Amino acid sequence: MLNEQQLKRVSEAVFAIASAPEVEVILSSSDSSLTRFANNTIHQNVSSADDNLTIRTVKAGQVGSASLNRFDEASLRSAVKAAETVMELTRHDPDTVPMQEQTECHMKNRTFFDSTAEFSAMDRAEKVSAAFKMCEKAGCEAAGILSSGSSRIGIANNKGLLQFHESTSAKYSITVEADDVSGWAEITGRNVDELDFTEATERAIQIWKDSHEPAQLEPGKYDVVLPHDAFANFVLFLSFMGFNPRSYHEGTSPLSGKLGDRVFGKNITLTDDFDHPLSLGMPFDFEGTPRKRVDLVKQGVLENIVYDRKHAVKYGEKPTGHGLKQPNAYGAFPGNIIMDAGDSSMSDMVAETDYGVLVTNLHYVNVLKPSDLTLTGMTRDGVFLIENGKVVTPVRNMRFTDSVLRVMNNITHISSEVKPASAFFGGSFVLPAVRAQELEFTSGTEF
Amino acid sequence: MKDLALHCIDTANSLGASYSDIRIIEQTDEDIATYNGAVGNIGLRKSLGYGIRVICNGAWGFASNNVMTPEGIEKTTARAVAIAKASATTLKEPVKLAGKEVHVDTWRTPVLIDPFDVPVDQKFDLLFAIDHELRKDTRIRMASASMGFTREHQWLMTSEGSWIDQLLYRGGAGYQAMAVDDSGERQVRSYPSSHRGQNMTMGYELVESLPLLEEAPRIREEAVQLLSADPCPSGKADIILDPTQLCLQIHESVGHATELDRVLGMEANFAGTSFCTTEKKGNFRYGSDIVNLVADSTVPNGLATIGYDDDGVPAQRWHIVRNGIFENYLTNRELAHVVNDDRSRGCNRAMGYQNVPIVRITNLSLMPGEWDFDDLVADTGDGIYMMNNRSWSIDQRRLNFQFGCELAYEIKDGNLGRMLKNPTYQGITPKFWGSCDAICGQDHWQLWGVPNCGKGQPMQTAEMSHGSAPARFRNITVGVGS
Repeated sequence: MLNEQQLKRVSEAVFAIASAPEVEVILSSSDSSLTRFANNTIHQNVSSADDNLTIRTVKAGQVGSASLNRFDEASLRSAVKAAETVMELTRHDPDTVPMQEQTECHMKNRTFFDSTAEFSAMDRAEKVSAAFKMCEKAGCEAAGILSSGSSRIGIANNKGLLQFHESTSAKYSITVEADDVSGWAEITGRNVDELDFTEATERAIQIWKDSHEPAQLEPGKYDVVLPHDAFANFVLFLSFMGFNPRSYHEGTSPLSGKLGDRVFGKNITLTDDFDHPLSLGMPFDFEGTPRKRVDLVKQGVLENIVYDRKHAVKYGEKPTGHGLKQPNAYGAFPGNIIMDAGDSSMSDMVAETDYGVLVTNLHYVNVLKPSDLTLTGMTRDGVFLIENGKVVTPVRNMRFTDSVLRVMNNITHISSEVKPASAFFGGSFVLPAVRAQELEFTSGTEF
Repeated sequence: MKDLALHCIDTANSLGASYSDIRIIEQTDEDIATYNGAVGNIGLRKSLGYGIRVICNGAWGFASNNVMTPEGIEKTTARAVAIAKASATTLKEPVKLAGKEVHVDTWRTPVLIDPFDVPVDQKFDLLFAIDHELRKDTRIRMASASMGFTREHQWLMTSEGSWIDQLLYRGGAGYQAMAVDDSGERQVRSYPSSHRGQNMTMGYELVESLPLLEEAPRIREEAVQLLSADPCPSGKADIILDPTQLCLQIHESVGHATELDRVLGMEANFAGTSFCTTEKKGNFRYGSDIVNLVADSTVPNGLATIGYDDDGVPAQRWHIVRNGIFENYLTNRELAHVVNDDRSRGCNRAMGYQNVPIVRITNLSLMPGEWDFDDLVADTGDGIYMMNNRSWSIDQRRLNFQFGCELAYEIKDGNLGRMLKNPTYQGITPKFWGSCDAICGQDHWQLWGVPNCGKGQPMQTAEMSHGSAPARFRNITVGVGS
């Protein structure tokens, strides 16, 4: 794993070699491991130690870029030459902005835990072995992952910028299966010692137990209770396509032209906060700009979107520290959305539902219609019919097809507990569970 | 390279491994793009490293690194062995590799023009010309054009005695235009197809063979026309799917469904499992009699066309579905024995040196029928012809799918009629393939690349191609969410 001193040494070597007026170095280094299991046995067990260096050179609005994973002088010279050759051949971009100057950035929360960085293959085997025993006792089989590792990222440029951040993370995800039904649970955090593996395994087993002999439910509109991770699927596409500066200003975001307008229900407040205690964020973006806490939606009103440096200058705004590696056409997106908690609970949501469904998680959610952010996806790993405030029976999985904008305007209950949550296609949010009215389910499946 | 590889195998032997292999990979990638008249992306990436797999105490361990020294190899091999020993603590049955594979060989993707020899400014000139053409109508708010190329040099050594040197080239180009009107309606058209255009195992001659600039006016006009097109009707309809959509249909509902690791539950926590369980082999009706789906890692220019997979198994061609009946899985050496195959089908592939090989879809295609396209439209009477994938989703057993396309045409009285926007269709896999009653002939057959298939934990992306000719499916649910 490369450290801050090595970042300084490598970046100074690159600056000495390069002739471009502006030179930027992004150094990333990771040591990650993942134990993968299925059928109550480990079937894949991997570890990867890797480093990467990206050099960006800029001269009069012309940009070049080259990446490598070797740091000897000959390799650095070759990469600088490649970046500068490309730079000379590309066209002038009038929107190119000067590189970020040094600005202090801070995080109040601890992001690196030695116990997580050093969590060994045998440690992981012990944890998953305990899960296998619980599943065998219950009569089911476990499939999932336990990952742990550390990563470092540093950004430096020849204008004096030097940002460095290190972090650890761990994730345990378990699917419990047998008798043609399944249950699921997932936990994640910076510190593996704080993850309650037993609770997660018990939760997945309980969902599996409750899922036996599912009934077939007709497609239609149902009030739906969405736990944190299921709800994350709606937030994920909002983060990519809603608050992006390029699409907002070009008129292709579903929120375009609506800054200052009420876009969601009054009970919805969304903030991008890299330094929330449960967030897995970092204190600067991939341009080295300090990341800001941004109020995106306040009581349903669209307050802000996020900006990288290029789009901030282009549209007369201030960068918020959400930029991606340059050059890129996409711009920026808020990757650490936090939604304000409410005063409800999952049990209250069920109790206050006359007729609806309780979902465990969603699968393969994708955009069907960008204009109103209509998504489609399947339920998975436990779906239950609610009648008169009680869960009455498990039901077979169904496909929903509905608009994020409509869902965010029809949330009736928000849990008081927020958790780290990610969608099928990723994301790192801190979200409550919610109850939404009349989610449209459009078809069913055979299990 | 060979000395480092031998050092790995010797180290693994000395640490008690019963099997070991090392893949050393030197890879160069170039991605360039334009966006609305400016450089959208430019990146040249080079990497060199290795991934080491061992079986120790009957279980797998894998570790990767980029320190290209004997000490780095020793440390990484020891890490892989320690991981395997940890895996073995939960072992039920020791890993059993199918059929000994010993090959000393060299394989090269046939390339006429090395894309890395073509100057960046020449590539940008073409992309900017396309960009300019697409944005001639002010309703085109977003125009993006891109090219991407990969040169992957692999050296694989196994403790069984294989030493395989492969040089693989992949690449392609494409573009997209988004039209927006004052009401907020937005429509997208891509060329030559969605999912980054067309991608193949070819050199820059692929880019030169595509009429990219020539087709840009049509794509621009179609995107604008879609703004005022009628929506796809909802209900049941006979549909004809173009190869640009069948590509994803084959990928999601046949390719992933017949990956043996999924079938055996190894992907259950993320990508899911499969309805196509092992008792169905050789007897399950997957589609109608005319449906023949063939896996082929030897097909010219396919994105998964290779000499050997990452198990060191030679490329092959075989039926997944023959005359509608499910016949074989996509397999690797670890799992082939489960379905009583004495040899792997050669589908084990990894993304780069950093990842462990897993079962991946290879090139998988629907074999052509005998229909002429115009005759098929005429015979259909009333229906919908859909093309170019825009949206995709399928359940975790690969049964309930729903696809959206960029563009459709109504078929009325045996002719192609009005343009339809937001076309979608939904079905259940075996019922859907069972409703296929006509496939166009070889003259209409096209091979399309999927350059970004995600699978596994940690997530890996892989590449493959799917060929087909336009095919008709009867009485399909259409217009969901239109």
